[in-house]
Amino acid sequence: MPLYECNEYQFVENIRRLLESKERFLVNRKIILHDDAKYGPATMPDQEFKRYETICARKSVNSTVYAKVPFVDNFHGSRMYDEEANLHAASALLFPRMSVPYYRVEYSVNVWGGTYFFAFDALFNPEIVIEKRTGKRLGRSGALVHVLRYTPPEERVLAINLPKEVMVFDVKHMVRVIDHSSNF
Amino acid sequence: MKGVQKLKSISVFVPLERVQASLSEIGFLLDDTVTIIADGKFWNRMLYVRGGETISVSEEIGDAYPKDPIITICGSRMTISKVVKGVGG
Repeated sequence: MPLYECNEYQFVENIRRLLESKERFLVNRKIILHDDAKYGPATMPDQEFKRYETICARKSVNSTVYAKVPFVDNFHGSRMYDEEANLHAASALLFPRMSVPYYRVEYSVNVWGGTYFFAFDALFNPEIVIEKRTGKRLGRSGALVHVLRYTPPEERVLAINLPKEVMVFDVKHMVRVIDHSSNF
Repeated sequence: MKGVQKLKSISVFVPLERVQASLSEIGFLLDDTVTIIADGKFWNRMLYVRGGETISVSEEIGDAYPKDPIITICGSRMTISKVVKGVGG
């Protein structure tokens, strides 16, 4: 079965054409949380990096990112980073030490034996607060420290809004079946 | 409103400010934003809402040129034609 990748504009316009043709079809949607260190602060565009500037610094895109202050990454088991820690090295852009979790969102539609899909990653939103924390490095009585939290984006902003006559099924995984019947 | 909803996506070579002004003029309010990565590029995806109608606007982040925001409308035929006209489509 052929698999065709679309961008958002193409995917939505294809759905519109299907709707206008009165063709019956089903849209599948997969939203999965990933935390595989795919995105780190060095490779973010400036606009996104600005959201982290309270705790880290860099010269420009793809430059090494250092911690400006000690902070705790609440999402990753309260991992502690020291001041001037190397968070994302310019020499190892594929392997950030501090990474951003994200949702992988995939929309697909199967029609006439082909699968047409549109996929994107949605970054979690950072929130930086100052909290009193205790621990081995912060002392028994505790100390004020910057804390990085991540909140997932709302589903409504991830969704491709479709008219009510379009049925959307949520799926966990799609298994591709190879059809050999045409070989005989 | 939900019963007469139509779908339309357009990609236009107009500045985001003009798209936002056009949506604001017809009563759409910014509801939420998210940073997404698609086609290997970072995009700012904005959701605008008016009643049961929704419009999402995705614009590439950074100094990319030319900028062509993708506007996806799920709303009435009238809303679609107003948006398309408003952004010069």
